[in-house]
Amino acid sequence: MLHVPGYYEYCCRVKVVAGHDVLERIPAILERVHATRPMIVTDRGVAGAGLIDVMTEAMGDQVTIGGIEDDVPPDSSIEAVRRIAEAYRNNRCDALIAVGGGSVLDTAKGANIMVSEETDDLMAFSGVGTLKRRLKPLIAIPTTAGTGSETTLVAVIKDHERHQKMPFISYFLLPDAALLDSRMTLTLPPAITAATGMDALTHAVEAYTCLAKNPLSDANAVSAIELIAKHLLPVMKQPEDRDGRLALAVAATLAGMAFSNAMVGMVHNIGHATGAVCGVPHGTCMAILLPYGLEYNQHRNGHLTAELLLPLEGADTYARTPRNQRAQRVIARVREMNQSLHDITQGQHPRCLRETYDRDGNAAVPFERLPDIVAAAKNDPAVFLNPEDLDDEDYRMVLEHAWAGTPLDCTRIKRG
Amino acid sequence: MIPIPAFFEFECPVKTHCGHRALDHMPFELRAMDVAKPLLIGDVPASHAKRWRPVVNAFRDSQMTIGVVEEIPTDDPQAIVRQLAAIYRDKDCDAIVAVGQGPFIDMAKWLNLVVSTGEETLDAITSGQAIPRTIKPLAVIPSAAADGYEVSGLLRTGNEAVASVNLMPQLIFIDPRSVGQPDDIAMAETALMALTHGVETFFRSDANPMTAVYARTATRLALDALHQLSGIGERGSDLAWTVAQAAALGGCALGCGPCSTTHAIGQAIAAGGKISAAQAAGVVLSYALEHRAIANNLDNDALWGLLCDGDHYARTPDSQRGSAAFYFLRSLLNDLFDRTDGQIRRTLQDAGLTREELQDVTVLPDPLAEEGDTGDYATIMAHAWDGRPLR
Amino acid sequence: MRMELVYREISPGRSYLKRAYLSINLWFMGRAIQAAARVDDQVRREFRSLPDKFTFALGIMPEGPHFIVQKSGVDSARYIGRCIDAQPVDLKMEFKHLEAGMLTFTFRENTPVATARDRLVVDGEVAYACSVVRILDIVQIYLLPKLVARLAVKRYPRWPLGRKLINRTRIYWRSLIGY
Ligand SMILES: [Fe+2]
Repeated sequence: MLHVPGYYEYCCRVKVVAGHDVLERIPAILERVHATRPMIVTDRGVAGAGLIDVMTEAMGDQVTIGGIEDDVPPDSSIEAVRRIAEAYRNNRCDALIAVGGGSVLDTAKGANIMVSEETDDLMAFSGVGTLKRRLKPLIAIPTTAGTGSETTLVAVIKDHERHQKMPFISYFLLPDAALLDSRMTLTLPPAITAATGMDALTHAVEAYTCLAKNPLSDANAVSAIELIAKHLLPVMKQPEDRDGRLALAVAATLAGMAFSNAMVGMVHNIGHATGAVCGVPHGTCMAILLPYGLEYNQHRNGHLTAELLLPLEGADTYARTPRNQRAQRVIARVREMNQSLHDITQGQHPRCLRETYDRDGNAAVPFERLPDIVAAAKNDPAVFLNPEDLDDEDYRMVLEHAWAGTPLDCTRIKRG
Repeated sequence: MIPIPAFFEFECPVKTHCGHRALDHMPFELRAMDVAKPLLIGDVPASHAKRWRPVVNAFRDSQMTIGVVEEIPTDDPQAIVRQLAAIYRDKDCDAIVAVGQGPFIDMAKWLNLVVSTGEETLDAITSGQAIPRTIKPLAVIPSAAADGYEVSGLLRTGNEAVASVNLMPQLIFIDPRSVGQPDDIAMAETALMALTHGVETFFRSDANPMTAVYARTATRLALDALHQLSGIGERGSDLAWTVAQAAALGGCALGCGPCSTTHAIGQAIAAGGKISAAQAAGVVLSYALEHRAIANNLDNDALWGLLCDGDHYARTPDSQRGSAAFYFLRSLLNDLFDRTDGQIRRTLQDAGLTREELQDVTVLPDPLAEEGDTGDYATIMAHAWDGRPLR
Repeated sequence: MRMELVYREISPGRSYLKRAYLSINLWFMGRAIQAAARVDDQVRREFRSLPDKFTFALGIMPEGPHFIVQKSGVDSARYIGRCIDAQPVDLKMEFKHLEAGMLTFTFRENTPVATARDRLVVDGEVAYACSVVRILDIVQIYLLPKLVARLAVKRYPRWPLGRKLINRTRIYWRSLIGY
């Protein structure tokens, strides 16, 4: 359904190359941006899974790799950025290939600023609009079908000395190309496939139901939801399904295009806080919190949630479900998906915060930590574009239910 | 849902700014691209005070000096491009903002190539090499009377056509104040063209889920506008804005990809002078689609899902979705025909074409025509002539 | 048809009336934040959570009117002027152009809508932006009549009558005389 706001902006400038044999085309793609000596940036996890080998083998000897930096830390710190920029200069590279998730890409973006602007003072370029021209070619190869970070124009770099997270925002930070190759996600472990798939689903659902939606981001979101609904569970059962893997990677990028234009809402807001305070993986938080976000906002955007039943469950269910029950059905369906993912992963995919565990097997989110999560959530800007406001009490209520795994009590939701 | 190809590429460098006060965002966006002094150029219709003033006024309080050339004719593109290029260089401009439609925007793209590459003629620019991606930023302010190629990556002038994703404008501003107020016929033609662009790119051989986003949105907006114009839907005050959006996003969908059967036939028929290319395409669309469906080359579910809203779609039984779609497209034309006293044609016969004239129409495969186009234009045209369904 | 194309150059003008309107609004709002930090407990709590000497500005691009407020002491604030080039600012929230500012300050687009419509640019540490937005919301609820304030914030709070009536008078008074 067409919802045209009074004003909107939409942009997805990143070139997407997707398929089963994209890695073989890297030399040609580099040639198009006049690069001959790329530096590969990645993290230990990706390198350890052998993905860099898959990639270099596919590229053959047509390209000289200027260097491989495979120890990007999970929080994209300024030290890592400096180290990579220095290696880039020392090896006389002329392009960057970021292989991995959000932190790898952010680090590569930071390094790209340093080498393109020929500066040692990265922070001078933080903020909005400080970058004025094209940077060196940057190619993004995501390895989880989830984050959608290959479509964003933001990089967040941590400065540990000053205890600051500095954002860099510019269209010049968009990668020159995002390459989606089914081989890069083929070996993703089931629990991570589940969590990242639900992250992508959340991007699409929040983009569709929150305040900055527009007709183009809506079309992105609907396609992404359709693809995830169709392929996530089958891929969980048959991990080597190449077409399914490609579909999920494409869905994640579509969802990334949706949320980089229409932003996200309270699910990401509370999820960011839960991740920061308790270290629960982002996708896991999303999977658990998504139904609660939809329930909480239902008096504001239930009609939008209802529309998502069509891509989520198809025409028959949509036609059969009375209009006023469709939103409820969407929420129930998301819970059912979590249950199925829980069953397929033999409990590795948690259904509520109470079921999350850290590496040592202890509860990751003890009930006593909920107030800390509330405090952190209040300082996360993702709530700006949530249709309904949340105060301490509201956060607390949502978190308690998400912790125990019980549906929200709709009578307790305040309507301003 | 269209299937995901085993390989695809997608690129659309356009940033869309659409709606209330969109023009006022222009200085901010130009500054972000490091533009200091844009050259604002407009064709004759765009230079009408009511449309022109908001564009110029958008630069108030922007601290940005602008160069302005208005009322530019399009009769001799080569000479005008040369003159404008001289002005651009003389006056130290560093980006082009073009307000207008059709051939004028082709000229603006050409001008941008000239000032970006330093070459004078299209031949020299394109000889043996691709259009570089480093050409200067081009901003386009589209109109509600458009040929639908403005925002695409196509540049057509005379018999030459160049296609490159790098020819697409980086910035477009669709503001209700600057789209103009063309008459209903012009808007209906613009919307019909946007509809064919949307529908045909959705089913194009290089279609993928990402081009489909633009194709679907353009189709929906075009149908919304056509419903208003045909009297089925209530007419809103922002009709012209909707039409301009449909045309612009249809151009994004088109990108620099191949043109379709409908367009090839539409162009060929329009060359006879009895019907406009947009109307011819509008008439031919449902027959070309039906022809594909019979050849088992079209997903009826996807077509019906593209054309109607969720509730309608879900209530139509699987087996009837194809016929529903063709019926829908034809009855839309019927309604437009009634509403405009026959000025929007339902069939080629309505346009006064005779059977004999139709036989003389030679459809040149467009230089950018779709591969695998069966070339059975005669059947499609015969049915489009008298409005008989193919089945 | 042969004709010479006519080139003109147009220097950007200034909309003096709109600038004046926004300057006054921003000035008043800046002073009202200072006043609210003395009167309202919630605003005080928000300031307490900000770092010492934290400075933030709200205004119009490019080089339009602004207000700058600095945290002073533990939980109070000081309106320190309107020139953003005079001192470093930790957090800048700016409308992309004058018209965007007008839409918001004539209550046709509230802040969430302006954000959703990409009219606002936030530059600086985003974590603190949340506190600042909450402060701005509270101040608006005090300054504006309920009918208008309902449009300005996402959810109009249910405050005890005293908080609204008594504090509102005090904030208005203090904003005007500036202490
Ligand atoms: Fe996410």
